[in-house]
Amino acid sequence: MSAAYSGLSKTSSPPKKRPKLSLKSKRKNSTMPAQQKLTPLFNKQQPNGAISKENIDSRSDDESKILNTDENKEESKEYVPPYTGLYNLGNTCYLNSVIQALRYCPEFNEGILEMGGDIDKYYSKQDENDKSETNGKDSQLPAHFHLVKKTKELLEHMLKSEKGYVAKPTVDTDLAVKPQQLLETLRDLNPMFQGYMQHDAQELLRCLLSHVQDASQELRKIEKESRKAKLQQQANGHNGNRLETVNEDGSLCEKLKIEQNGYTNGNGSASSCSTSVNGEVKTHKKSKKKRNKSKSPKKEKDNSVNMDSISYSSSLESPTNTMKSTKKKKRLGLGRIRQAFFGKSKSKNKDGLQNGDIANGEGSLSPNGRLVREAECQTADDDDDDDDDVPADKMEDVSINDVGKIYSNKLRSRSSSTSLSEIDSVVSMDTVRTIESDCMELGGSETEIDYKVQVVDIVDKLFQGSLVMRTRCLECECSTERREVFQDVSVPVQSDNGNNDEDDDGGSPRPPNLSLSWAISEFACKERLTGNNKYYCETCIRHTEAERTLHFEKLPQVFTVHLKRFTATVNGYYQTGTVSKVNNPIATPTELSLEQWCTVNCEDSQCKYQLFAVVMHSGVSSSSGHYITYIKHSAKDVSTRADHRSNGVNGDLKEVMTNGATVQEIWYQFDDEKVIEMSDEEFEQQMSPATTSTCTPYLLFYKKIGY
Amino acid sequence: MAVHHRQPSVARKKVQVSFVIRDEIERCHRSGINGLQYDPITQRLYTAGRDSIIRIWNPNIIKDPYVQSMEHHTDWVNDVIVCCGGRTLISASSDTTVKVWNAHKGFCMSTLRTHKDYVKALAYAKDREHVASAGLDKQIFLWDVNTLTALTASNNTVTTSSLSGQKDSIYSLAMNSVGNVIVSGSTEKILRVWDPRTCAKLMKLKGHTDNVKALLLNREGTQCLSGSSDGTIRLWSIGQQRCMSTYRIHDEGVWALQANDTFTTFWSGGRDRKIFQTDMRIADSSVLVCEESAPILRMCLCDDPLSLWVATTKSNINKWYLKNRSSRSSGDYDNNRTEPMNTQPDLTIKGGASIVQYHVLNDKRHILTKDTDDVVALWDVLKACRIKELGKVDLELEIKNRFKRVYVPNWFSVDLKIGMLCIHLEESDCFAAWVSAKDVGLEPNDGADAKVNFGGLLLQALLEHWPRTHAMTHLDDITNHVNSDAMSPNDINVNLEPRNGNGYFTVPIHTPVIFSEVGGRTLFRLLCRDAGGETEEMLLNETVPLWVVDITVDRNTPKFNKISFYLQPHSSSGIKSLKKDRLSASDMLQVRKVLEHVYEKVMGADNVSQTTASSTERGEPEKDEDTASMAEDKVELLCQDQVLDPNMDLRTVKHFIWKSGGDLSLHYKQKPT
Repeated sequence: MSAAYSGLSKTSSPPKKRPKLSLKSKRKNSTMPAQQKLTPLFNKQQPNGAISKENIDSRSDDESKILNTDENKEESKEYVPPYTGLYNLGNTCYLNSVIQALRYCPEFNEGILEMGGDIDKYYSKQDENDKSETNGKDSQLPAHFHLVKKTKELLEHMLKSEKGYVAKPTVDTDLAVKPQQLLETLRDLNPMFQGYMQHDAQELLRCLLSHVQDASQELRKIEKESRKAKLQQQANGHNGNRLETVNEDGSLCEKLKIEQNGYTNGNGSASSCSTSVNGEVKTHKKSKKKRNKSKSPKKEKDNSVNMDSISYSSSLESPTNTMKSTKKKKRLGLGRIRQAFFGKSKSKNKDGLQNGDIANGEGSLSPNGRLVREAECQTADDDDDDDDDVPADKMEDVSINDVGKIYSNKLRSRSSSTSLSEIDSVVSMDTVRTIESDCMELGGSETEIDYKVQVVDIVDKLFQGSLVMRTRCLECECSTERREVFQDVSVPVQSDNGNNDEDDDGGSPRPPNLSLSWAISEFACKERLTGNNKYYCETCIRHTEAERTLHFEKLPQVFTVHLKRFTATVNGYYQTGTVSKVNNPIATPTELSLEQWCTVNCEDSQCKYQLFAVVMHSGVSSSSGHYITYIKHSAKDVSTRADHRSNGVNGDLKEVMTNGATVQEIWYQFDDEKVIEMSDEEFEQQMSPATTSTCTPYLLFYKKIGY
Repeated sequence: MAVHHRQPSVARKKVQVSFVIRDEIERCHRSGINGLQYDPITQRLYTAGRDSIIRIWNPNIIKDPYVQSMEHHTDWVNDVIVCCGGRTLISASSDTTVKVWNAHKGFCMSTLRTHKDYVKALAYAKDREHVASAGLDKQIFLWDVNTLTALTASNNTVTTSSLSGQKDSIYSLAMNSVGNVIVSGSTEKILRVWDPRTCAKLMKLKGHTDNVKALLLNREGTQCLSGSSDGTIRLWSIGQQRCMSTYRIHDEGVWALQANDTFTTFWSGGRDRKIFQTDMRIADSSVLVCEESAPILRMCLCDDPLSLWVATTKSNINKWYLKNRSSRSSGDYDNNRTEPMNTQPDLTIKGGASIVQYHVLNDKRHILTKDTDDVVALWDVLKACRIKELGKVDLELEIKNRFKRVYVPNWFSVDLKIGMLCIHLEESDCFAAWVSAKDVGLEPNDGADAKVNFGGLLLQALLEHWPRTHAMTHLDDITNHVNSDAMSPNDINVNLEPRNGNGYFTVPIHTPVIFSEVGGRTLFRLLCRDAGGETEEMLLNETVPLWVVDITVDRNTPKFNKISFYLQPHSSSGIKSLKKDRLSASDMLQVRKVLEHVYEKVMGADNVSQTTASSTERGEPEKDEDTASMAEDKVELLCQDQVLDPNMDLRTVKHFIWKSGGDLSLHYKQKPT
């Protein structure tokens, strides 16, 4: 089976579209015991779920045979979840699986869109040649910016096709896109991914995220510089009296200035904006969104509060020099601008929130307006509840409902960006520049401050935690500590001495199934420094045995577990160059607490993690086999789903509005271009250690769900 | 059963030579004490020091209890056992050996080399005269003491039982007197139990959550007491294979345990420095006996009167009485639930200070050290001796004061694990340091300024009593060597006559010389003066590595280190750079010599010296001096735009002025007159 997936045959011919699908699961059924079990369930369930009309790569001939039979069975009643798949471009399931998992990471999507936007903004500003519009190969764009852009475009494309499908769920529509450009960019960046070889999904994940991280760091640098320049400008221009408040990095000073400017100029510029093109709206909205995104809504109580009242009331506060109030006012300034834009629909705000059903066909401005308004409400919440000084990453008490809400927000911002970029392309460069110069002091600086105050780096923010490595001398039992950051944890799936063990341990056999807890414990109790690898203990002034342990000091929003299934020397026989795979099952909990591996002063130690994505690998080595992804997503409930075909947009919005309270989370299987729904039972069966097959979890993504 | 031979030391991997700079008699322990044994018959106390020395004490002589040292180990002694009614002592050491000693006379009878890592623990079955040894190599060996004491140099094959199955490093071991149960404690956290008669595994006892560092068995082998780094003490029933009690007395790891003969009361001590006495029959009966000043490593119970010898990570040994409960003093122990029975030990055997910090001075010959008493001392590595004690002064200040702007390559390494200066010489860098004998204050025999090699001289001194180094050296050979290297006109060997040592100095004859695998097991230890002994000579012939034979026996000259550099006219001199010549010279070539070269060859100002080679040939001293002074007067050499002192050598220039990688670049110009 692995040969079929990894063979070069399919790469030679371009993907062909076929009017049917599900072949893939069929084919796997024939070879994989676990999937065989799965299939009957699907069949039973067919009225509700699974399998759609999809495009498929050309595969082997026997596939097509299977296809025909499938087609007949499923054509009539199929339900296609409105989630975009990704075509396999020749053993690119490693990419597809990771992209899908990332796409459903809370806030990842938004972060990328926003970064992409910022890159566009910066480079379009910089460059007269209108780079932002032609999102082709801007030669000037640094490579990792390019990657971010391509990722953004892919995500937008996926969303768009989802929207299109929801709007018009015709059977002929393909709900899948090709990650071609992203792949190419990736290959440019990292030649390792060239060719049509199968690759390690974890390596890809690391590669992708590290480039995104680089990009955001660079972006931050750029923004800082330009801000500095502007600051200079401002200082020269006016507000010189504020300069004495400059602190270390000048941020306070700047904020203060903005405060002033915002109040003196804000309305003016806003109104000038409102009279001009929508295109500039983006700038404000984006900076706004940026803030929203990085703040998880802490409380929901004031969810529907009219943001106008809040903003105006706080604007009346006497200006103080505290960061907090300054920040609030900055926001207010923005809020006003936005109101200036959408003032006419202000009264519809609440309605919009509750119903949010703006017909698909309406003008492009209206959807934007709605989106912005929602963002505003979000902001209102923030203003009301948040301490702006609290770093975003500390605000983790997000309930499950909140997560649902974040998801919906994410959906919204996705759509907003999409439409915005459309607008962008319409707006003439001249106009944009005019607006920008108008709003420079407010809008431009505002964005940068956001950058400073908030985490630019979605990788830092979402995936990065920190570990304390403690080395304890076994002689004097003194410990030394060292800190390091992590973005995923690589855990073993088999015990080191599992093979030759227990010649004498008959009385206490090892538990038959290893658990994830066991694996993390193995990871956390990292190593013993013994034998020729002894530790030099400063206290003992000699080499002694020592024990290294790892503890989490800061936990990330998304906790990524990498199961070390690929090893060069598993059994000693496989020394043939390809790494072989350990298919040991590991019991994978859907909820995870890391408390026992946290340091005592770890603030997040109480929080729970929920499994929301799993990248599965089937096959016997890292260079062969196939990756698929399971994703749990707050999807439509059954009733909504029924509505889907008739009024998809409504359903979509309804889901958004429910704030997760009634949103049901369902597991979906993303197998390249094919997306099918799974019941929890099916999913559990796939994950179950009892189902020992070559199709095993490889990457686990847990998201933080609060205390 | 396995048969273990003592391997003759041929064809070792890499062998290093080490020596310890110390006094001839070290009457006090330096550093901590890992093992304690009291022999009630002879009333002697045996202590196993981290300074590698086992000492015998007579505690009855309060003024000076020191009796004798037993020296042969080269690393921490981790445990000692007195057996055969006090006649024999067995010791286990981090040098990976187990040694058998004549306890009365204090000499080493044989060395057992079966372990491959630190040997941490010994256990003794009195009734059968069996001793077991265990260590970080996860191995347990069982020895028949009567066999061990019968070993001779020729009959050195021992038969031993080994108990396998341990999965982690063993830190503790216990065997009952009858010798039918043996228990091991390890980082595996579980206790493993064997029957030493059959080597059969009996059981595993699980419960501790950390390393087990102390173990006791009662006489019958039915009960076991274990102390763990997890801070608990557990009482186990071997028969029922279960833990009967867990005692949570200590705040930190429990490292030492003792129990009375009836196994009803135990004393425990550990990292928290406290010793508690606990009656196993009564709940919560723990009483604080005393608080030591350092983590407790070992205790030894002795009767009449009932008292406890206590060894800690410090070098003092304290004896605490156990029966004076009435005389509790109300002290500063209010924080504890129990006040200590004793605040002052009944008896203290004073220990000495151990070196805990060192700094090798720039001349790569002198070392400043600081010990646990904050006393700073200055040592001469080359002569293997201490120059002087500087008292309780600021080490950093001393280092600063003694800073010299001179660069000499590293040629030795230092370690302080035994609390004394131990110097290691390895083939890779031992001969890296060539110096001018005059510069380093060595009096040349004939007044010529000879170049000497630190490592070579030291090795020759260390082995000067080895008869093989006395073999005739032929002047012809030496001359050849000299001529083979053009840059060493004044090589010391030219002036060598067939003789012992290096012709400059000797090292103290009590200096222990140790041959060991690099970073690993000890092969052979002897005192400098003993190299002529029959056995020692034989063993040296087997052990001394070729690279040492080369310098001490064959008297070959170590290679000079070459340094490459560019010599160009300085930009201000107005002379056009002809071509960028890459030159090569000894790294200790003085700037003065380069000046001469410039003066004679490059600037060509003076036709007086039409020598064929500037400095490679030994000319008449006067002419040399003449040229040199003329050159110095007229030419100056710069590096990084700094004028160089003619006395500096090239490696010092490179290290202190050039300060970067790549070839040194020197510029010359005429001195303004």
